[in-house]
Amino acid sequence: MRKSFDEINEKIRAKRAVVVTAEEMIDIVRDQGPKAAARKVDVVTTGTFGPMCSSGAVLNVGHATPRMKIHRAWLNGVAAYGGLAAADVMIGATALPDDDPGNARHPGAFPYGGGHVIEDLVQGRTVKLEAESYGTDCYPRRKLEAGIRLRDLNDAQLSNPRNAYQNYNVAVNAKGDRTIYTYLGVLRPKMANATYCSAGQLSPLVNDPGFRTIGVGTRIFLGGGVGFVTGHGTQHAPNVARNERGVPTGGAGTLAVCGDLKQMHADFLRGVSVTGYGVSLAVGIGVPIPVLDEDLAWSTAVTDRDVVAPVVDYANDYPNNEGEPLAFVSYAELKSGTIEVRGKRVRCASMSSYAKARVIASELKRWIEAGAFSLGRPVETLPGPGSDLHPHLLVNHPTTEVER
Amino acid sequence: MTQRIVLYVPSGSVNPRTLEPDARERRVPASRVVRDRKRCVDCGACVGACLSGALVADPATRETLVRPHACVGCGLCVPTCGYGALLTVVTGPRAEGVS
Repeated sequence: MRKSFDEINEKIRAKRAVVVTAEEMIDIVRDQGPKAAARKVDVVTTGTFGPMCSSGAVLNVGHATPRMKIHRAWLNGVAAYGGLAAADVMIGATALPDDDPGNARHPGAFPYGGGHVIEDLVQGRTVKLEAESYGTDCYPRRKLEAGIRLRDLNDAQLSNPRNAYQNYNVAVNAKGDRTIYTYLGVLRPKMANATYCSAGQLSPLVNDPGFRTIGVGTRIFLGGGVGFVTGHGTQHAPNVARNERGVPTGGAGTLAVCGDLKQMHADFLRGVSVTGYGVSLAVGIGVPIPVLDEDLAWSTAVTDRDVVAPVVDYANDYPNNEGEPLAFVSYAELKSGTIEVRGKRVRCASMSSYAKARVIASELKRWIEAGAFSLGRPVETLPGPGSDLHPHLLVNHPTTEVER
Repeated sequence: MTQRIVLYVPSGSVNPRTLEPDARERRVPASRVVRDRKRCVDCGACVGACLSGALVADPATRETLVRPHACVGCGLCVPTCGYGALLTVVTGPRAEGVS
């Protein structure tokens, strides 16, 4: 039996669609089989919440009087990008204030940055905008200081060139002799601990591993509002080795997404300070997966036992692009709190909130059941396994001076 | 003698009103870590750093549970929290203010 997007959307409009979370789908497929599950269930909702550094917001702050072509800008002292149109400013999640000492006194605390600016805007707080320019005939103003609030901006778009990673590394410090501070958290030497960052069985791209239903135009839950998939994310790596379920055994697919920041909520968009590393933005994303057929019923019943991740040394191997994974462990093992790596029991913890991922999947389910959220049929699917996308290391070419 | 509490705030803005009740008790051990429930996202990053069993993941809900009386105040968990939800509370004669 096959269903179409249109048929499912018709059911959603009539509030007759059967919607379950990816967790609930596991039991349904186990008890009734994928064929019956495909007949019964129309949509499976997924969710994930964790730091996603490749995030930012494009703000149109409105023209000042006299007008100004913003050239350089700061938001609450955090450097923003002014290389867009006159009144557009972009703030990146990992941007820091000019006076942040970084890791000069290691490990740096990184108390405030771009991710926090975005959270402050979403919280409704007033953010200080400082801008400079060189002045033109049409935009004569050279300096600007103003307090801005999200509600008064003409436009505020959350833009994430890469997130919702389809699986990811488990980090350990196996080869170092001191505590290290990474984007995956604090790692003590001799593999005293391990960290990971994925919702596993609830993660969007794990539930549609071949990208059959997710593509450009897919409507999603983004930061508490409605967003869209705009394409495959940067570093999208669909050709990573996969297990018998088609789930990659390492970081693979990614999504590029965007959405209206004004719809979003700080419960699902939070600034993050990663000790010794920097700042980031934790983003909540939920993707609905239409159960078009039996195969999709089966793939959305993926469990934490079915998803394995590579354990990677972050003291030497990761920073130097060397070595092989030390082991592969399942998310069921990771969520037990202890994994075994080369004969050693290692305590592990998550950087991603499974509790929040559950809230997101449930919230998205509620929206769809209420008929308030229909499925976006992709106008183009993402490059899948077998495509010619192969992310690689930096290619360094000889450069020549550009004549100015 | 009235004890005063020093809050060492690692990052973010902590609201004393949203600290869990135990943090506001008058009599607390010499040093203890407390959580701002409103800032916590239940990721569980702190759980892996806690050696005393004061921070545990609820196996059913995956929320982070705090067992204040198991905390030894080592503070290992504080730098693992990216959301500024954990802070060390120090009491006693050396406690003189808020930093």
